[in-house]
Amino acid sequence: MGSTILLREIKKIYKVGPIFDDVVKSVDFVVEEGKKALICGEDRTSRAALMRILGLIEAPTAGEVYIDDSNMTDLSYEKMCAVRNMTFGYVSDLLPLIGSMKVINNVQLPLNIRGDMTREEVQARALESLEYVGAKDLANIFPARLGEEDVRRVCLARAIVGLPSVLWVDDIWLAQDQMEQKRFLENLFQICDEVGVTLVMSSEKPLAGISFDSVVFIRNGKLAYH
Amino acid sequence: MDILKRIFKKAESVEPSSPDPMEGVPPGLFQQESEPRPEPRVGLGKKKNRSIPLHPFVPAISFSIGVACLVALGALTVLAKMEAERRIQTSEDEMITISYPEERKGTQLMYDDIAQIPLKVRGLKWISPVFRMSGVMEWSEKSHEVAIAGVTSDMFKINKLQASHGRVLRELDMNMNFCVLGVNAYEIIGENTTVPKPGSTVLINGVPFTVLGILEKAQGLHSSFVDNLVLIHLKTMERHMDARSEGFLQAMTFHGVRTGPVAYGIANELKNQLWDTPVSLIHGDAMKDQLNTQIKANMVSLGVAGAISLLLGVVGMVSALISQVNRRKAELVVRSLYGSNGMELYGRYGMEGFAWGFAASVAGLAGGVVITDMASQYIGWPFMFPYDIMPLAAFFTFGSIVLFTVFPAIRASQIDLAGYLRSADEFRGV
Repeated sequence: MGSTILLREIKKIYKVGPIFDDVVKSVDFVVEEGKKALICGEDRTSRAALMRILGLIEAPTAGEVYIDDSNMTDLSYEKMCAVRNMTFGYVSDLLPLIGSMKVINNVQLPLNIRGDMTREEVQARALESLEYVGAKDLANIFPARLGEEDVRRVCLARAIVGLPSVLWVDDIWLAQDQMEQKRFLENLFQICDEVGVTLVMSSEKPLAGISFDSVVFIRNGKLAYH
Repeated sequence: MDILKRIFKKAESVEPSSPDPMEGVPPGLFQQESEPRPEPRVGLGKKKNRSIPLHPFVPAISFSIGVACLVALGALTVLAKMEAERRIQTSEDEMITISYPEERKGTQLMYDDIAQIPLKVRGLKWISPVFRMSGVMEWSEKSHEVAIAGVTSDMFKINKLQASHGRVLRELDMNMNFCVLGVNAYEIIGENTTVPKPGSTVLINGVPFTVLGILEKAQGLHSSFVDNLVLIHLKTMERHMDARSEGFLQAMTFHGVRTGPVAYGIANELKNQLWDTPVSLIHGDAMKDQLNTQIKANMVSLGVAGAISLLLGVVGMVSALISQVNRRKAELVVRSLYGSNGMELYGRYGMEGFAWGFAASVAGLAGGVVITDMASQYIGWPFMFPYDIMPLAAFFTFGSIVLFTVFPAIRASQIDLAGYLRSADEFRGV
């Protein structure tokens, strides 16, 4: 089951020396349970900041973040870690696979951190997850031997292995051709539909031929089009 | 959902996007602003990482060597003490005597140099060198080949030698031409003629000497050699006999209330330096310095090597582990993102550092035993490793591990997740 994410009057200000940089200016945004949302905009700083706030990676300067009616803004550090583990699956090219671990171990990582399953259960779930993204045969090799598309699939398997309610997908196709994008997104959407997970994705521009439930544009730190 | 609508009235339900994503987008939305916002410089995204990657294996070896050297140093110190005690217990009257040397010419040993040795050794009362040469003694118009020994007055005390007639040499006699005859020498010289009585004058290598006394027959194993000698004071020998070019140092005896390992070390070192290795000249201050340098050289070099290696090892391990943390920042971020909190990261990286340190420590402690064994064989001591020092060594070793484990682990646990992603994102945007 997916989660509903609500951002209420979110502001984010970075202070760099004497400069105060308002990267997110009073943004209100909601992604309903099981829906697919795309955040676009050429303003990379604002877009990335909004995504980080939305993914509970960074706290907003002001405003509130709700996930399934629960206010996440004032959660303690430990609870925030637990919520991230239980609720989110993260896919980003800034979050690479760990090179010293085999693919299967990489995929097991969220479950190992969660620590509520036996080793056999974790392994079975990881294999299942890899099979789901069509990468089961890659389980016992190291990430250095993977191609770009395989890495992306394994990252996706790592994101969904913990059965998250929100998939958080950052700009992952910076150097990808459109066909490959489309193929990946079709797989992603299929997974979201089958599992019922909420999808939040960011991109510089809207994606041709891909239909999201919601597309928002961010410009100068504000939602310019919703 | 009611609560959502209550809290967030502005939020609208999501509408499906059109097949053409750009349709309906306000014109100019993706055009560049007329005055672009200054690029914020956040984090370290544009900094070049100039650190040299250092694998923990290299400093771990240094750490092992350091531990091994220091363990060996401690063990050898204990062994030296044990060995000295063993020798003291087995020797008569806490006496250490260097074994008889091979004949060796060219040894230069001055009386003043000898006099410096007791000043250098705590607890050492007397030192007695026996400098031997051959010569001719003339008595009653007859000449005899004799063995002449230059000694100090300590020699008589140490060997408990007493005169059967007359008296033995005293320190004040150094400026006079006095001699004392061993019992065998006395009999040989007096064979078939009258023997030289105390007070009579004999010629030794042409120099007139007054006979002070005749020694009793020596009883001890170490002192029986004096029976065959004509004994004169070492200072007198230096003055008249030009012995240094023809004689050799026969024996050197130390005697002290508490001789200890240092005296034994000095004795050994002198033996090595004066008899086994050619030494052209040793004089007062030079000898003092040389004693300081040479006698303690092995121990000090072992200690210095150990200390430097240990220091390099600890500093290197800290650097290497921090370097590992920096290189594995992406891994830390992934772990942190998926819910690892600071304590888990601290524990994980602390354990990694501890594992390296533990392996290095065990290797170092074992290496210390091996070095001690080798050093014992080299010196000639029986190997008996004092395992009593191991708990102390392990305590300090594991203390060092804690030192180089804590800081990198703290660095790992304090990873700034948002900062890393932000700076990486800025860097990606360039």
